[in-house]
Amino acid sequence: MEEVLRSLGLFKPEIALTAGLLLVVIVDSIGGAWRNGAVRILSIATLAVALGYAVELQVAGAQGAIFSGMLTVDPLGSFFKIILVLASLLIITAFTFRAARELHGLGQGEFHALILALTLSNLLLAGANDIVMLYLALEMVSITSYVMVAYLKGDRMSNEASLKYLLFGAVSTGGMLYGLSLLYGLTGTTSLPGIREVLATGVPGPQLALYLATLLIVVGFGFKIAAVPFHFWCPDVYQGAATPVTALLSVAPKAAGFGIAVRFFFGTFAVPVTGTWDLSGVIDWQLLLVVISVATMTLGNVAALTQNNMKRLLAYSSIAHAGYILMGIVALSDVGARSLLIYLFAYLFMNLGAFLVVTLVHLHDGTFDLRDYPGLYRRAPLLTLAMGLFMLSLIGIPPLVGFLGKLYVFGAVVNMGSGYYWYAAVGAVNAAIAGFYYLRVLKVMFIDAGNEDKPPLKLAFVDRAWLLFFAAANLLPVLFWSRIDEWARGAVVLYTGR
Amino acid sequence: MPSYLPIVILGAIALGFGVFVLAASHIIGRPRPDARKLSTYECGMPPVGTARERFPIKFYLVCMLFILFDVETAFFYPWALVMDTLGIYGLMAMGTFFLVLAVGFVYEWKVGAMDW
Amino acid sequence: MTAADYVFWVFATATVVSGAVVVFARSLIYSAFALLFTFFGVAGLYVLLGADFLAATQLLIYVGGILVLLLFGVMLTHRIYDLKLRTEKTQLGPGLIVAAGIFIIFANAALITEWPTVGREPAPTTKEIGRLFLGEYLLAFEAASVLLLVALIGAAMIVRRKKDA
Repeated sequence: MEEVLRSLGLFKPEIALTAGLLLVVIVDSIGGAWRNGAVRILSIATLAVALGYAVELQVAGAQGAIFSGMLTVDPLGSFFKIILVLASLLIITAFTFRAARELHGLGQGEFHALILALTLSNLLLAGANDIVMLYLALEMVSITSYVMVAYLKGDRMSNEASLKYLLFGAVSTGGMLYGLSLLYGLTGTTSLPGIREVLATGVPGPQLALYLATLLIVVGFGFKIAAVPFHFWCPDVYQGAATPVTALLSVAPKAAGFGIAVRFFFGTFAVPVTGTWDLSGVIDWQLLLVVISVATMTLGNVAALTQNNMKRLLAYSSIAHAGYILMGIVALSDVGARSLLIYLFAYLFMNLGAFLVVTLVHLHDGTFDLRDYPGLYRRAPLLTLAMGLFMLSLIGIPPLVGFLGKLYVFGAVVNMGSGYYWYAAVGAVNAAIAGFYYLRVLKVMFIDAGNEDKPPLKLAFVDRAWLLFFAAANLLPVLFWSRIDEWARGAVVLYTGR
Repeated sequence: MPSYLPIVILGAIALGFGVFVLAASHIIGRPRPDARKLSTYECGMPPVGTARERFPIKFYLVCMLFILFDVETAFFYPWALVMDTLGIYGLMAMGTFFLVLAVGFVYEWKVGAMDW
Repeated sequence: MTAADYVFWVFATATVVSGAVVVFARSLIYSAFALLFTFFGVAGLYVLLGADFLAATQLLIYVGGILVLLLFGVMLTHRIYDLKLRTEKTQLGPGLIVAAGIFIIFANAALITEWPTVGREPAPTTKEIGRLFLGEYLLAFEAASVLLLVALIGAAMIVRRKKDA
């Protein structure tokens, strides 16, 4: 009882989200014609409150395990909470039902309820400190995502995407569950710190089960962050889902997946005897993760080269970015963890910005096809300039925020010593390949001729404001970079107690 | 390990009864089939169409709702066994659990998922 | 072999054989009905492992709910009876090799690992589960209710006809 009351104090963001979720569902059920507006305001208020609480936790530097060790609260977790809640908040405010043509005529209540539920699940996943909670939160994130992908009910592609996602997710998380059960069998505890204590003393006898357990768990995380070879669902799901859903899925569950991966690898397999970041020697972690990371970024970038559908293109681009972000985990150091945080922060703004442009073009022209983009500069200069900024940021051109993210992850890898220079070089080559398709989008929009007969796009004032906001978020952070660097530096504190 | 003998006996009786009835009617019955007896039904409406009809999707929704509330009930059993030792705390914990699902129930009701 | 060993082999055989029928049957209806025996077999294995609550839940939810749902799913589908599934010939060789490889690795891992044991007989679990749900795993317990809520919303949302905004 005392434990619960103590925990509730550090659990405020999640409590706010749960209460908001229940209210949204009730209002949507019993409300009259006003309910669509009401659920939207309610959801925005809920997320704003949750964001406030998350920032409060971050500022206070709160640390500790809550709910008998089910969750941890630490600055790293609070950083992820801020990113996750912010992502949902931006989706609800910038990607409105008015702006997303696919959502026209659909009920708003379920959409907002699902976004709140997804946010809650993401927070639980990013803070999980027990394999029971970890798996439950992972399933919550997955199931909410399946439903959100199927939101366009009449649309065959949306349904097909949801089914593919479901089948792929069922196999991956099923494999992960098997791995977690092996881990429990080996250590006799579900608590991540408890598992670490047992693993630190070593598992007696043959290590095969431990290898299997870790490999299967990597499968689960790989599915969540869409790393190769667990990425197959990603392009179809991103294409089939409504664009706001795609934008959210490309950022939030991915960030939560990285959050729990950091916690799991560093919190569970780190042997405290030899230092915070030294992983137990059963598996050559770095080699495994380097291989996954290289495969992920290369495949993502190469496959993106030939895409004409903007949503598919951004899907492959997001796979490639997962590969870059993995570099931060591979580094297995404070520097690496910091670079991961900064990259996710940058990725949030550049990716959501690009998806907002795609949404707005679809609203006015009804197309996701890059081949319909020529002449866009003449028809909508602001929109095109903003898109140019997001694309350059995604490539990693200075001084945009994407450059800073890449700088940190490459720096973290180079820091590891000359043995890993080749890895950084692979990353650089990949960034160059990525330049091709991002610049191709720019070329089509600015240079290619076509669509002369179409009238200029009349963007709503709000949409213009949001474009400017995202452009600023990509352009301005470099000005107060020392602050952000300091913030990320302070956030790399992992609570590893029970 | 708790004894499962009663369950085994119950299962054996159930199975044995079924086998017994079928075997007994087979042994002591005198089958004298005629066209009327072999027809699908001896009384009532003559069957129309195939039995393998498609079912309305409503059944599916009802079934899904049943499973979800079934899972909910499964959570109640362990709680019921320990609630007397936990007092008001146990009641509040289950109350929270139930509240969330009650909201779900209201939602199902209001959106007409249970209308036929 | 003790009596429990015999019972184990009965349940294990029932599970594996009916599982094979699920995979190889040509009609979805046969697969669905074979699944009934798989679920029963697994419930029996749970009982042998001393997981009595889990076994009861398995029967209650899988046999009582999920299987019925699957059967409805089959019956809802247009012309599914005419659909002949080609399950036995496609990719038989590679499939067998992969399956056998996975089986050897996992069985090997289960056999050679020195699993830690607690060294006591399994006790009835339901009460213990209740104690843990309301104690150590309280958060997981409450989170499960949110998961069920999401599932309720999702089920109603996907199945219902297109709703007016």
